[in-house]
Amino acid sequence: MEIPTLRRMKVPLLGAAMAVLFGGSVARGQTAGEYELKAAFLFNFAQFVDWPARAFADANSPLVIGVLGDDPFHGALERATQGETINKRKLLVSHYRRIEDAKTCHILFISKSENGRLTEILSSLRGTNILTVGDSEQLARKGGIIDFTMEGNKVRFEINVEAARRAELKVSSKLLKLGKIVG
Amino acid sequence: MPFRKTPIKRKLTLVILATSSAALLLACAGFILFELVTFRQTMVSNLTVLADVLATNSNAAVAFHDVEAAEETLGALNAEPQILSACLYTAGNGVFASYARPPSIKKFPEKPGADGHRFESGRLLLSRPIVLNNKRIGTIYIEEGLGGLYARLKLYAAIVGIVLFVAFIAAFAVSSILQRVISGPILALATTAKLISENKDYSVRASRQSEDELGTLTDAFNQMLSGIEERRVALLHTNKVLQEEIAGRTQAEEQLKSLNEELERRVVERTEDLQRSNEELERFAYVASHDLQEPLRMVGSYMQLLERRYKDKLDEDANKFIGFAVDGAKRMQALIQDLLAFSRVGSKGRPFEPTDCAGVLESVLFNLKVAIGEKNASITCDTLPTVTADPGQLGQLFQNLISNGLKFRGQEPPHIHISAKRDGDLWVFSVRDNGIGIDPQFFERIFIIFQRLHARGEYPGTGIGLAVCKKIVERHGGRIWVESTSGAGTTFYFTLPAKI
Repeated sequence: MEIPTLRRMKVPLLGAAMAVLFGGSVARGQTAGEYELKAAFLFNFAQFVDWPARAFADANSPLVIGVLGDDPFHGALERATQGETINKRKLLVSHYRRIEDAKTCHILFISKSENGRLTEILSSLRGTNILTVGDSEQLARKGGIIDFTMEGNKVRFEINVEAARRAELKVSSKLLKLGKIVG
Repeated sequence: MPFRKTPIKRKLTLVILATSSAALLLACAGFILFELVTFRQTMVSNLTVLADVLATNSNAAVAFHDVEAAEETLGALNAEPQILSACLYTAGNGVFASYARPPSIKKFPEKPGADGHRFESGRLLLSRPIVLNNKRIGTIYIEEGLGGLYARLKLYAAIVGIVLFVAFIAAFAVSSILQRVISGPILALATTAKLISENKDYSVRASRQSEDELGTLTDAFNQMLSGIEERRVALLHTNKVLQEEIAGRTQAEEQLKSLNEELERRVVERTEDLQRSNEELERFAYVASHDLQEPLRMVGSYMQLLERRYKDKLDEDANKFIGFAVDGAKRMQALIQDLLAFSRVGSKGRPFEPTDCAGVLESVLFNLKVAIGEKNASITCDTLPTVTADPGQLGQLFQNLISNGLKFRGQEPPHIHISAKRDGDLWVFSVRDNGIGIDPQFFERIFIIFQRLHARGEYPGTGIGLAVCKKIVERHGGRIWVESTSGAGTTFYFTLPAKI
């Protein structure tokens, strides 16, 4: 079994037949709510990205997921990360208003409320090892790392590989395969 | 052809073939069984690896709910024609993504089963967890057809069949050659044995072809032949000796026979001579005694005349001498009388006729009446039979025996008892007295003519009476003997034939 061939195979997205077959499961995912899904995705990103050692104070330091601006999750993020660990690190959710406060987190979700000052935020975070996640369909193209997009009613994401490299983050090929590469 | 009648060559070949085929068949069966088991194990482990790889490769897609990516991952199964279907389930046991070959047939269950594998209706079913960050986020389920297994088994069966066929041919060829090692000496032995039994030629020897048990058998066979040959020669020799011996014996027998004949002839001649001389003797005795009577009577008569006329003129001595001479003449006369009687038994006998012994005895007792009266004797008898005899001689026999009893009396008055007893073909007569008896040493002598046991003065007699008795009994074909104890009486026995 030649597993690597999988990636090279270009299987066209299935049309109507597959939509009918799997519509049920996809619909079930949607019922959880867009931000429930996005909260789960934020947690999943943590599992497919490796941070450099200096991003943590020590081996037991928690992995902090920060939300900048208005919180669209309404507790979904806390629920998604409740009691979970990644590589023995506990998960911690923090909410920020000012970008200066957010520099100690590891994943930073930038709310739509911050869309007006994305360039400023990104330049402020330059040189840090923070995985920036936007909700605006603009962040990745402007130098952020991941951006949530909507494809019909499905949540997808774009990844700026160059930005991730600059932030010294190792993004799993599996994640790259799932996301749309930009930048 | 039944196996018992099959030639030994074919038997050996068959045995070798059967043995090698059985061993080969068992080995192949074991090999196929081993392959079946190990191939199934290999199938399971290969499918497990495949499922785990797919699970790892699809965990991100499951985590990010990316159905297309998951199905793209599963689509790689297209390269594996034996995979019939595959399915990814979410942690909530919902179908997330699937793969089927061909795509139109949906073969996976609504919900995943327990982890692990099972063989079911010609398929291998396997469930494995999808893990992300040590956490189960779903299940992968794969169905694999057993076509590979069956194809493999078919291949093995074909190989085994070919191997068996080739091995069978090879075994047949090899055994056809090798069986000669064993059957050759046996067949040679059998040929020799047949030759010997047909031609009876025991000088033939089987040739030894090997140094094993068959060689030993051949040696033993040859030794047996030598033994038979030796014995046959010995037997022939013994036969010859026996034949010679038999011939010798036959010759001896013939000689003996001729000798016997010669002897018999001579006996007959001698008997005739004896008979003739006996007859001559008897005739002579009779004639002599008869002719002797005449001069004797003359001597006696003139002596008595001399006595009568010159008794007073002669002296005492002369008279005494004349008395002696008269007495001698009388005795001579009695002697001649008895001798005549003795010779008459043989020559003047009358023919035998049925004779009543009681009647004969009666006349005898009448003749002896005076003597019985003088001696004050008593004579008794039992019932006596009728026999075939010469009545005159039978009477003389009784008279002589009774007279004997009267003569040799003891102190008491004589008592004589006559009886007869049947013994088979014979009558046994007995004449018992209570006289002086006879010493056993004289039992034979008393029947011989002129034999006397006593002095003439003691008991008078000529010594002929019992000889006459013996001659009479023997003429009648009987036997006479005596039993006695000295001083306690005597019993004379004689036998006469009972047939009338």
